[in-house]
Amino acid sequence: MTLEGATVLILEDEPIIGLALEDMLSRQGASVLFASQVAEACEFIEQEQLDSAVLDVNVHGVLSYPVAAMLNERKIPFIFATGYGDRSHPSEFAAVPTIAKPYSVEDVRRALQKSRPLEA
Amino acid sequence: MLARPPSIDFEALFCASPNPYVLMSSDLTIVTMNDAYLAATMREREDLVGRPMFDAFPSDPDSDSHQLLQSSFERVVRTGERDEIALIRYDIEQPSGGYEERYWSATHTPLIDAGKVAYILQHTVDVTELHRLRTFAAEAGHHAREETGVFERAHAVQEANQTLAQETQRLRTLFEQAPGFIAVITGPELRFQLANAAYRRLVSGRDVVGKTVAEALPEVVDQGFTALLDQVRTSGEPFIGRSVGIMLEVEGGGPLEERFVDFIYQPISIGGEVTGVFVQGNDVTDQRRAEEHQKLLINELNHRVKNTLSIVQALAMQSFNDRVEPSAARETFDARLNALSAAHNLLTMENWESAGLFDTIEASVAATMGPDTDRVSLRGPNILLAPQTAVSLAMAIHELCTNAIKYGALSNESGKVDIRWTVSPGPEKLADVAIEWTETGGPPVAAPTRRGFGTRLIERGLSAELRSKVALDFRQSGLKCTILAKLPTVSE
Repeated sequence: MTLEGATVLILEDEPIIGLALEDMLSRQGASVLFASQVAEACEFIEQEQLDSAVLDVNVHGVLSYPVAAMLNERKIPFIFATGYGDRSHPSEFAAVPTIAKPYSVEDVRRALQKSRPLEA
Repeated sequence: MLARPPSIDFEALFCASPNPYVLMSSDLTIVTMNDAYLAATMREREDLVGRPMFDAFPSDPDSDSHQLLQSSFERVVRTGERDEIALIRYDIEQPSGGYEERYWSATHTPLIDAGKVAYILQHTVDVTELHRLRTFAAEAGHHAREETGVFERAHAVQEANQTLAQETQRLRTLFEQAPGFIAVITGPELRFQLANAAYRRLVSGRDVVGKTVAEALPEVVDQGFTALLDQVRTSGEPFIGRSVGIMLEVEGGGPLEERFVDFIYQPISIGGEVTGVFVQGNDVTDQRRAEEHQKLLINELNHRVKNTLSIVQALAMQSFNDRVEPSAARETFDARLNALSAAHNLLTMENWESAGLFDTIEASVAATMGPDTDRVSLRGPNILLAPQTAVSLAMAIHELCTNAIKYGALSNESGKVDIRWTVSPGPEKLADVAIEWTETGGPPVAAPTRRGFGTRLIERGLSAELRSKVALDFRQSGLKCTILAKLPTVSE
């Protein structure tokens, strides 16, 4: 996917990191929706037309897999971002591109390009 | 006076002694005996000479009598010292056939030749008679000597027994107090014969001795421990377990608790046959928990480091951009790192569990302004903030401070900043915090043309749960910034 003109959801509990990611994506021409908690992200998914998403795996101690499942149902591609290098995802999300913190603009772009809606 | 002692015929003396004596070689072959011995045993000399002792006087090798006598002989040969048997039942074959029940007391004296035991002299007294002595005390006068001899021997044995009892008690105490757990389990039914204090502690003080494993510790059967004991018993091969998990009942029943043990099941074999299992080991639960905790801490540390690197990266991205000159950008970046570091110091002091609201603002101001903090006044309660919130707040305060130093009240010599806040407790560890940042005495200010990192940071997420509301009022007298936020707190 291309970021130009795309609407991207960011789920990130660390405001400073979220700001940087927002800037990264904005500079690529995307418009960004920012959620700092799982429930907020779910609201965006229900209300907005999303093209893609970057999900922090651990959001204030809550795993973001339910958000991933919602995106999946709607065939919206997404990637995971995580600070836990060695954590493996549940099998249904094993194929989701995952970037490890700290990540570069290039890491995010590449991962988003690889992301595909998962098979049901 | 005699010039020299008369020569004494010791053999004649030996034969004439009223005490029964028999002499054996060290392999227990009968060499000779006196008449008193023949009388006592109701045998003829030619029946006995040259025959092994146990052949001449057969008894069941498994009987106590046989073993008592044999072990006394073995002790004499091994130690070269005299050995006593206070009382031994040793039945004697009668000339008319059949066995007669007889009781004996015996002394076995070694005769040493060239440093080795060459012969054993047995002095035996038939004490079956003692019953009669006791019964017919009046007629017993001529037996008094034998009786005295028997009692002396009995006394010697008693002393030996006492020493043995002390030794046994000492071993029992050592066994009981051993730091590791020890138990002895015997028989095909796996019955506890012994269990020390450490073992009883492991099983929450349950009384196991005398019970089978299945009776004493029913919960371990399905965990495979009885099968393992059986395997050791039947194979004769020891089993060594390292940090093995075992679910055990805690005191007073209730749910099972997991313990971890290092242990060995050692087969106890007597005469090549396994009669039981020696259980020995250590409760390593605490060690195991410490290892797990350490692993958890290292994972958490790794996560925190990655997160911090991301924050540093984000600060770098915010600091270095096309609009800012590189040397100024570097200065901004350094100052931001400094503020981040101050927040981390604060959190480290509290094990990364929390940081006080007052402490966080104060540390951020100090990190930004250096020692000259007199011009900034702080007033408000020091509620405990969640770590992430503390970091965000510290960075936001840093941005406001920096802005005041560059353009606001702190850019001249006389301006002041007043920071005050009120807190009202909200639902579920969220506090409604209202922070007022008021600058006075600075040069006239004007609203900036674009929203900086600091403003965005405050708006975006002082609160993890809900957006904060920020009002920036660029008044003629100075900036007034009002922040309304629901902040995650930590209870004390």
